[in-house]
This record gives sequence, structure tokens and C-alpha cells, in this order.
Amino acid sequence: MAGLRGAASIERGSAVRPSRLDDAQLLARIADRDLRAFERLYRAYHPRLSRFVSNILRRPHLVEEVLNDTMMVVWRRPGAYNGTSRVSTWIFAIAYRTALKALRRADDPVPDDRLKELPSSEPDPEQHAERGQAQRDLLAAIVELSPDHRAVIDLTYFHELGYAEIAEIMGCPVGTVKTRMFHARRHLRQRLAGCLAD
Amino acid sequence: MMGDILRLDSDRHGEIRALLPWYVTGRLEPEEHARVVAHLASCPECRTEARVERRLGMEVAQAPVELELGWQEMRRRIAAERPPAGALAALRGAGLGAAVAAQAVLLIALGGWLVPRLGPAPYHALAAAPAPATANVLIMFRAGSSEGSVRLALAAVGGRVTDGPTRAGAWMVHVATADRQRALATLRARPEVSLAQPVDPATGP
Repeated sequence: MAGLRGAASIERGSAVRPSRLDDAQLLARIADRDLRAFERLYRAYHPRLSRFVSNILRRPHLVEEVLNDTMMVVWRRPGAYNGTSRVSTWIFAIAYRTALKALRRADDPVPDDRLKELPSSEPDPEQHAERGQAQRDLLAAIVELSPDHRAVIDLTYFHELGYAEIAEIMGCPVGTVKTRMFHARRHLRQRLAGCLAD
Repeated sequence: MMGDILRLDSDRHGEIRALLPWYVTGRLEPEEHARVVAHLASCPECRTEARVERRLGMEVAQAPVELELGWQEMRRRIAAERPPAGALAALRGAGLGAAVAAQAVLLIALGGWLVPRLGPAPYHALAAAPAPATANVLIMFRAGSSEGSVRLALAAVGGRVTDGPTRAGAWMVHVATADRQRALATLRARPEVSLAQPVDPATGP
């Protein structure tokens, strides 16, 4: 799983992970306009930011734009990182705000119906039918959540962040993160009843 | 008093269950983690909840969000490229094979302009057309072009469809040989036409 912990961490406690130093050092070099350092950071974050932003936007054509807008902030203003959080938290917070702005600007009516079409996809005889259907049900259920709820479940389960860090990224109280998680889980479990049992 | 006890007990379950997403991903603080572990040791219901939570977390983490969004976008683009829209709508209603049905629909829509060459006998009967002319122009219409706009484009150059659509979605059309260059210029200027090029019988399309 491509969690944040492995690659970009300012961790709890006193142990210093090499990856944390990598991110912090890269940022310092970026402040000196080191394009290679920026490319390294860009390549390290692209997959995770892409997943995160895709989940919020649900508009593939906007994902690269938002992702690059996010990383342009990192390139232009590395000094805005104040060191009180993980580098990854800072970057994800920028991505979250940028994605929400893009969502407000988006004038296409598409919205969140995209994955609702999934059950009508062409059947693939080589695909494990039961597994495929469960996955489509899950994706359809995720689509029905608000962007904020999707962000919370994605940051929790996929990126494996703690609630305090999620609150920091989303700029909201910890209690709000827990409440969003409560409602998101309840919705997903209702929609996936039977699929999650042992 | 009893109600208070039940309430406290319920609150404890709720408090623990609220932490389960971060318990299963190993992101609780040590003190919280110990509290959850202690509670699960004595609460079978919450242990069941923890198992379900672990499964849910795993499923969400493995959900191919970007892949599916990308594929849905791709399906929409492919659907948008199928020309012409009016023919496709009728095609779905008719439930016929793609190439034959598309030709049949245009045949009915365009009447006397069409001279089907590939379709079965009933199409010839419907068109009641004279002997087929030889195509000397190849035309591709933009996705979404209506039957009406296709009809107007052909009428503007006195064109007669002789064959198509090809595998690439092109139509073979005959125009008066002497006017072919002018017809091509006219067709290329029309918004619903994406491609118009000469075809010589000797070389084919």
C-alpha cells in the first residue's frame, strides 16, 4: 500500500526516518531553485496526490491540472513550509485546498455519477465476477459520499494517516474528522452489507 | 440509575468504535491503542466490528479509483466519437448489426440520395434507387452530426451515398465528376464534415 508514512514523514517521537530528512532536504534545495530536487519530490508525490485529488474531484481531466497547481505552490513557495508538520501534510493540505477550488470552478455538470455507471460495464469473463462486482459496488458507494467524506476515508484507509493529521490537512477540528468518518463508514457499510462479513 | 449504566456502556462502545479506522491502520497514539486493545479483549461485539472495519479499510485502500474514473472517461469519449448520432440512436432501437443498420438508417432518412450496395435486398426495395453510381468522394461526418445536417451537406453538393460506413466511419459518395473540386471545397467548409477527400475508382478509398 502506498501510504504516506514510508516516503515523507515527520514522525511522532524522537526517531528520525531517512525519508523525513529526504523531504525536508529536498524542500531546502528547492528553495535554492534546484530543479532536480523538485523533480524528485514531484515524482515521489505524484502517485499519492493523483489518487487523493482524483477521489475528491472525480473529474480525470482536472486531476493533472490540480496536481501541477499544487506542486507549483511547492516550487514557488517552499519557504511557506514552517516545519511544524510533516512535509507531506503541508503538501496534501495545499492539494486539498486546490482541489476544492477547482471543484467550485468546475462548470461541467458531470459530477459524481461517473462510477454509478460501473455496473453496466462490459462483463469480462476473465475477471473474477464476485470480486469485480463487490469492487464496483464499493466504488459506486464511495461516489455517493461528499468530497469531504471521500477525502477522510481515502486519507485514513489508503494513505493511512491519523485523524489529527487529517484534521490538519483539511483545516478542521479533529471532532469533524471523526464525525465525517462515522457517517462515511455507516454509508459504506449499509451499501456493502454482506460483502464485509467474514 | 440502570439507564445511566447502559448509557455509559453504550458510550464506551461508541468511543472505541470511533477509533477503529485508525486502530486497524495502526495510526492511534499508544495510549488510545492500549485502550482499544483492552476493550476488544472483553467485548466480542466490538471485536466483530474491528474485523469488519479491517475488511472495509482493505477494500477502500485497494479500490482502483483512478483506473475506473479513467475508464469511464474513455468510454464516454469513445461513445462521443461514433458518427452520426441520429443513426446510432435509431440503430440501437432497431437492434441491428452496426454497419448494416447504420446504412439502413441513413438510407431511410436520406431517401433518394442513397444507393445501397452492401445491404441486403430489402434496402434496395426501400430505396427504389437506380443503378449504383461509382463513389468519387469520401466523407467523414463529425460525431453528433444529425441526420438533417448530413442530408443538407449531401444536398449542397448533389451527392449520393454509394457505400459505407467504412470501418473508420467514412461514407463513400458520388458527386458530379465535373464539379468534384467545387463539391469538395463546399463539403470541407461545412461544420458537420470532418473530412472530405477525392477517391478515384482506380485506386479506391
